[in-house]
Amino acid sequence: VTRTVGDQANEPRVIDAPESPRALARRFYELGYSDGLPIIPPTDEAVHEMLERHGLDATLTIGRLPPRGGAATLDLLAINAVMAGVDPAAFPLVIAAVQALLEPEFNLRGVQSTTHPCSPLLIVSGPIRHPLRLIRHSNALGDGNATAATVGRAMRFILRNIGGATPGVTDLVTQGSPARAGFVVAENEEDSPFPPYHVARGFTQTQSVVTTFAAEGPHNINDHASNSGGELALVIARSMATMGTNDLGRPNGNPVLLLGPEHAAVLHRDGFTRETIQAYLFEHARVRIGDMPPDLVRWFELREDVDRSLWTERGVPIANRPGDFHVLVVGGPGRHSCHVPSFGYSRPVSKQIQFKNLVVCEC
Amino acid sequence: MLGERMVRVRVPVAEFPATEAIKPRPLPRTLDGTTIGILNNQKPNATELFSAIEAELRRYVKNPTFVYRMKSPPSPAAVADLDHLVHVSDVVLVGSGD
Repeated sequence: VTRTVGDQANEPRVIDAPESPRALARRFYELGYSDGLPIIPPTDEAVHEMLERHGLDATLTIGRLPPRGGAATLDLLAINAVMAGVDPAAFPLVIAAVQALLEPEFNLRGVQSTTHPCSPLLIVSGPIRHPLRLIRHSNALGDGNATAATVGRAMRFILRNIGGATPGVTDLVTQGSPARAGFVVAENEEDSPFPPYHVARGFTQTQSVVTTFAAEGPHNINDHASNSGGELALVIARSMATMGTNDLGRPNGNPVLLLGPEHAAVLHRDGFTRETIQAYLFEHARVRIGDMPPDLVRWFELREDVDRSLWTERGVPIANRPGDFHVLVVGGPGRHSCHVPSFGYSRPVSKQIQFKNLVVCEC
Repeated sequence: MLGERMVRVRVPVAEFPATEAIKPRPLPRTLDGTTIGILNNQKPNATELFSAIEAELRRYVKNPTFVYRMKSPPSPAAVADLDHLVHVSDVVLVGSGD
């Protein structure tokens, strides 16, 4: 029997739930609190530990999350982080990510309610990748990283439980995406020939930063053939520009190119920098107007939020300026990279991850 | 289950702000001579849809006035636009075309 105890505004709301892990997971799933996987019970002790590690005040609110406007108190963020299995050491990453989502240019209301399958992608760069054990080489975007999996899961819990995004009700996403279950990755700065991504965004090398994107899932770019940076860049550009991408012609296309280290090395060897890659993609990652069916061209022509002055003989761009292509190195050996299309109506936001009492993650 | 061991846990869901209850104005008995406000989401299919609706209404309604307000697709409607439509319209049609 579920019993609500404490109905006063400032009193923590609690329920009595089964202690058995399977029954607890089922109860939380039935209540709409969880995703059906086992959870860590958010007891007072566990929530206190999450906050206490960093000396945080549970009553602080960092904003209201759309669409339903729930207050993102540190207490509620901690409850959801506990449920997701986040190690207390990684909690400041969760806080910084939610702060980023709340910036107006991220357009969280749109992200939470659109039919498009976008969801927050968290890119972590800077020294914190190591103590949080986020940095990986092979399978950087895949399974098997506790911090990435739990922080990503916590973000979805927060968006649903505090933001009130319920699929089919307030969240009108048509098909969704596996990325919604959690999409967190660390930059491989050590194998990158380019300055760290957060440095390119104005932070110092010693700062740790999370950048949030409204992103689709990743699309692989396989190139085992190109022996020059120029040919590889062309393969990448043509792989990124497709007629169905939400970035095409939109006001805020912010596609992400996650280069594998081997592809990055080829590009760097042949003179490409991050900036020249961005400039190349702006010119070449386009869909030719002559290749589009007439209804699609007409649809773009009718839209008032499409900047047709950017259309050239090479076609319609997937970002409105070179700087809106986001280029960094992720992953390990192999001749693969990937492209992460964006929502097209959101701008990425970076926030420094503030750690008061940093300890090595126990995960 | 009888005898099931329980644990007291925190509720992870926010208490959402209550939405204000709105009592709509009574609908006019006829649309003749009325001002019909239209709020759409500016997508091409919405524009097409409301153009067709306006054309149909003009066939059956005498001397209607149409007032359009747009919102950009991923953003909420501006409060000023909503207030304007409420102020000048006898009825308002709201819709989106995706």
